[in-house]
Amino acid sequence: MTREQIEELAALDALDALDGDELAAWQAIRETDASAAKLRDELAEVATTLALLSPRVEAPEALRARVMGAVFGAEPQNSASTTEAATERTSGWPAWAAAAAVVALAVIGAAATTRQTESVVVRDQRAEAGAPYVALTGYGDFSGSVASVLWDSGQRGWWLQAAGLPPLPPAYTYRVWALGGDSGQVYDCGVLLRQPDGLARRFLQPVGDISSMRGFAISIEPVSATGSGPSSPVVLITPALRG
Amino acid sequence: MNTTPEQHEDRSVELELLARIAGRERAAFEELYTRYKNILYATALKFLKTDADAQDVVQDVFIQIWDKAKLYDPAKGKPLTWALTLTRNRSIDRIRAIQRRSRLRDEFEHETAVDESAGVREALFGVDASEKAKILREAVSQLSPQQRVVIELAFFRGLTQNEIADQLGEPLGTVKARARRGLMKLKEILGPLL
Repeated sequence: MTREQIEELAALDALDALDGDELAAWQAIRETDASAAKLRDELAEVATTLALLSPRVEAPEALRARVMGAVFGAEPQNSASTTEAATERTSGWPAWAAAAAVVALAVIGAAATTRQTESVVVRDQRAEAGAPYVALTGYGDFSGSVASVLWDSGQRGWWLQAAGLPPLPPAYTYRVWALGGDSGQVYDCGVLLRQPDGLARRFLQPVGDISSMRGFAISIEPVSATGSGPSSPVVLITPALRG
Repeated sequence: MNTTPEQHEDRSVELELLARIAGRERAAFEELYTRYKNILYATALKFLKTDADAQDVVQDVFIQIWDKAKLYDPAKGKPLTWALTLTRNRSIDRIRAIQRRSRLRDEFEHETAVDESAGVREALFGVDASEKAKILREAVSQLSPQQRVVIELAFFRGLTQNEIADQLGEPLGTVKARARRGLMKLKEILGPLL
């Protein structure tokens, strides 16, 4: 392959415009040719800089509350607070790790057929046709916890709301997981921050290549954790997914 | 690529913020939000044209930043480049979703006919007072109109090389050559500034 051809492929890849067989061929080249990969990364940085040509505008004030609400919970907190501070610290928290029922996502059956289309998700769990809604139930020490997931067709995502969540030790947080209906892959949907009153709410955007959704689960994870699946007991889960 | 001391300091601060965000520190996230909110919103708005869509995308991007900060690889680019890439990708996904829905409603042809012609002419000439944007516009002005259109359709519209060739009625090889020459030219001009 000539230098000119490599530059062409690198430029098109940097612009995310490669497709078909050429994309696969180029990926193979990038893996073996460090200079080709470097050129592609440099051109991608140049291409991304084009975004700076956007007309200067101010982000709406309301956007801040919306983003903070989506990340940290419904009620924006004062800027000095941290994630850990937002979780109520109580000394009477039960021995959660031992008591919580272990419900492994690996044993989830294929009974549910929740499917996301352009407008409707979680059909199998809806109480009625007009309510794209799925309930999650708690286990063990979390039997008093409930959560629901509601599809928002306007924003094309899910609102997850939970109540009755016990406080966790400072180093732990609740984390949301989704199970892809087609692949069975588990998707990390991020942290669910508990408010002092035991409520939690967050907006979940479809992630990865999800085209259908079998259900949702909430587990307890170390604050700094990220990963491909829950590393600790799942404490709330879609009933249809119970093993 | 060389950087000025000011750019280096910005990058160091932002790298530190991302590290603190990876450690789940809310104050760091809020600071990064303050730094990036306008540029990410402006970028999303340029792609999507409506405030509602742009706000949706920016919200998604900041959620991704919060969730994925730990996975950020400094070797793959600056923090702002990473955030802009997330914004572009989310915006393109949304454009494609909108187009899919439009096709279902048999309105796709009408929408693209209206949108593309205006967009291609105007997209690279937005007003921005910053020095960097000024230099960038000067660099873009050194490209041929044909090169600009190809880069515009790929970067801001998310079209693939074959889709661009179809849209312009040009051979695929011509599209490839224009993309290469255009982007290599920009790299030559902008390289020392990045």
